[in-house]
Amino acid sequence: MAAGQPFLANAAQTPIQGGTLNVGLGSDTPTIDPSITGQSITALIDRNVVDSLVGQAEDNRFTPWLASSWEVNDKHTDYVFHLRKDVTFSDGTKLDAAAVKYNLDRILDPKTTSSYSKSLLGPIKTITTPDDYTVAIHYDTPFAPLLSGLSLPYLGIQSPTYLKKTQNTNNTVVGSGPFILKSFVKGSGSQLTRRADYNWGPGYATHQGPAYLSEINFKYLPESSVRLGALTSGQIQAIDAVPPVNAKSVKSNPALEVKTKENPGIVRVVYLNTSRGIFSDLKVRQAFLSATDPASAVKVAFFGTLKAANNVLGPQTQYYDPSVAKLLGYDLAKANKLLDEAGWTSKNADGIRIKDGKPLTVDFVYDPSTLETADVTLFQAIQFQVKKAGIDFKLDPVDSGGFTDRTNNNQYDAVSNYYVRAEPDILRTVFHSSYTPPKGADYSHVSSLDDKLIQAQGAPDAQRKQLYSEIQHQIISQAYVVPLYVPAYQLGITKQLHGVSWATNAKPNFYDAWLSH
Amino acid sequence: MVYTAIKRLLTILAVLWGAATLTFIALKLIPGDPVSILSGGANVVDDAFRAQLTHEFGLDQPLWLQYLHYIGHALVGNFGQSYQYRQPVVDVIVDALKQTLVLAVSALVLALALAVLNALATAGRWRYLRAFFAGFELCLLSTPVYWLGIILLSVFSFQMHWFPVMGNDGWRSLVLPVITLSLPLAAILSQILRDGLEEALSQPFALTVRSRGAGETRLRVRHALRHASLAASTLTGTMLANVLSGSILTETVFGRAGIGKITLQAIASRDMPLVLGIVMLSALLFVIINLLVDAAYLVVDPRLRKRTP
Repeated sequence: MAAGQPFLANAAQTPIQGGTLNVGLGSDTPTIDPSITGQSITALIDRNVVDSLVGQAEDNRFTPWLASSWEVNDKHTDYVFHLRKDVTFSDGTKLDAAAVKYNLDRILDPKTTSSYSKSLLGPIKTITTPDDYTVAIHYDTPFAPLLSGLSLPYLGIQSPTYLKKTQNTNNTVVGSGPFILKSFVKGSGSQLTRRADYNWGPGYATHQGPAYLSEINFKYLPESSVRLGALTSGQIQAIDAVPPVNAKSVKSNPALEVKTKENPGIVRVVYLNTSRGIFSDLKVRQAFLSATDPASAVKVAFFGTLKAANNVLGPQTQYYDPSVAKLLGYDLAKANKLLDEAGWTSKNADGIRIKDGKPLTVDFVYDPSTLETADVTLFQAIQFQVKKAGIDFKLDPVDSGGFTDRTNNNQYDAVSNYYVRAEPDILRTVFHSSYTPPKGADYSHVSSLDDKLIQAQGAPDAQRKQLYSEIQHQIISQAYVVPLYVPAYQLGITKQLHGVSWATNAKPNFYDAWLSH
Repeated sequence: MVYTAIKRLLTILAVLWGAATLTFIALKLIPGDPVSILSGGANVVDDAFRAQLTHEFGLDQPLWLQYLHYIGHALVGNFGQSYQYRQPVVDVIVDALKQTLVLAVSALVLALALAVLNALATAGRWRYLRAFFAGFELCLLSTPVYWLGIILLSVFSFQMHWFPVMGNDGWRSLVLPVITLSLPLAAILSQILRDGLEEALSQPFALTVRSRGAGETRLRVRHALRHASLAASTLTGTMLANVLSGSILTETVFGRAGIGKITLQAIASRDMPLVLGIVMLSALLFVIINLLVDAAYLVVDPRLRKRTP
């Protein structure tokens, strides 16, 4: 089914009220408070519990939610939100401007130790409440990505009464959403029950009023064969992270289907560390880029379930520029020529190029616990491909503590990850020099894009588009990264589950979902 | 008597202090940056924020001060805040322990019951049945717990729908994990108990009991089992380690919350306060269980109860 539409097995059917949806999740979250974590599973669960000021539809347009309307000035420095007056949190507290301000102030307060949520708010100067139902946010420097950030669960609005009286918010959340969090057990899962009086769904939803499902149980089932077995035996109705090996068997099962939503944001890339070693040479970086053939490697590793990437951004990202694809392409002859020019002319007995007695080795540091088996297969395929150009792509697995240590101390040639974000400002997190590890994710140690990234953060829309296009071109032509594949959220469901839609962070929304028998 | 008690208590304290110190050193030696873990998921932290976090968790203090601070607090049962969970370590451990205890205790009881029945029935008789059981035990011992769990799930949950796969709800969801965890334990115990029984049955006292006209069952249960259990209780330490390591895998397969899961997670992400808390707990458990085993010896073997001059 085409992206951008909610998937209804049969649009003519009318939704049925009630029923319990069991969802099996492959990863767990240590905390359920969306304001103090960047975990995507927290966002997935909390989307049903907390509402946002604005909604973002699948086509990236913004819709009313807790704010019925808002105004933004041209310079993206002043935002004014007008709140709905009929909203209550599940503990009975009324939603008003003070509640919103309390939430945002709490996130900005360093004591709360918010990091991702705080970064989504940007460099806020002041938050004021001109009246009981109006919130104004002011910036000194322009900040365009605010609306997109506000639409995510990480900036979802929680009950101020609850926040003030609760010592520790790690196990509980009280919001104004269509479901109430009944329990959250770390390492096990969450139970949600429907709010009967809910009547303020997001503008992008297909219905209004209470949710159809009466309960949702999220279960943590880390072992993929167990998740799959639970789905095929009918014990649960949806699972995430369908392993690529099993995607075919799920698709061939008449009772099941796999729904895929491509992630927006930074695709799965290999960052080439420009600050030291072999990749400080542009020609070597370009040679490495030309010597990799993501199209065939991705096909082998993911059994055709995912698309190879053709840009640093995924196609679902705002201001994604398809023309960047022309800069990419597998070309072994070009790789060999570039390496010769860079002085890596002789080869050792293993066929690895040598310069000044040193082999052309890429130290690729990764943490297997953050990867799927298919990712490791993919890296091995790349290892095989680049060897043809005389490059030794050395896989160097470490645990997560070891990974932060190696990246903080700049002891790596290459690392890999991806980021889910519909707003192209994610490029700033990954390519601005102020986010060099340990402060952030500028794993390529790029500083040449600083000016453009800051300018693009607050420019008028047409100019933003232009700037982001230039940035995307530059990232590929300078070979700061090697794009591999467009990650996607893969939801395996029984055909009895209908009406699941997608959030812009490629997570399923269950507000419109219902179960047939 | 008082002297013995004080000596015991000091030994316990020394063991705990040693465990805490070794873990502290090990965790400081292995590479890893707790602040990166503290700042969580997307990892966007400016210098000011890093400094704030570092200060908040006392990581800007000199090492010796961090150590003293930690040991001082640990002695009064305060292990600080977990980096990942942002909750007091004691709360995180107690939550997880509640789940694991049910699993571990049930598995131990089941393993014990299976082993005793098996050993009593097969020790020294029915040569072929005995050989079959011994072979079966060997298979179980060398089967990965992970695999065992998945096989049980495939058959009894996915195919036959007898038990649910999921989580921590109710006794039905406990059946398969308990069996998974107990089978390898039962296999070890059976072998030890059977060997013990066979040895006891060949002793002169067995002949004496038989000559008094006692039945075979009475001989085995009342007399020989007592001897065999001495050997088995010596094994308790190993058993405890087996239960703990087995619970990590069992909990992963069955998606159960528990101490095994958080231990693994805490070590991988350098959640120092949590790791230290868990190590202290394990050390404490070890000490307590050894005390209990010593006490059990006295109950089982009357010779040890004799007062030494």
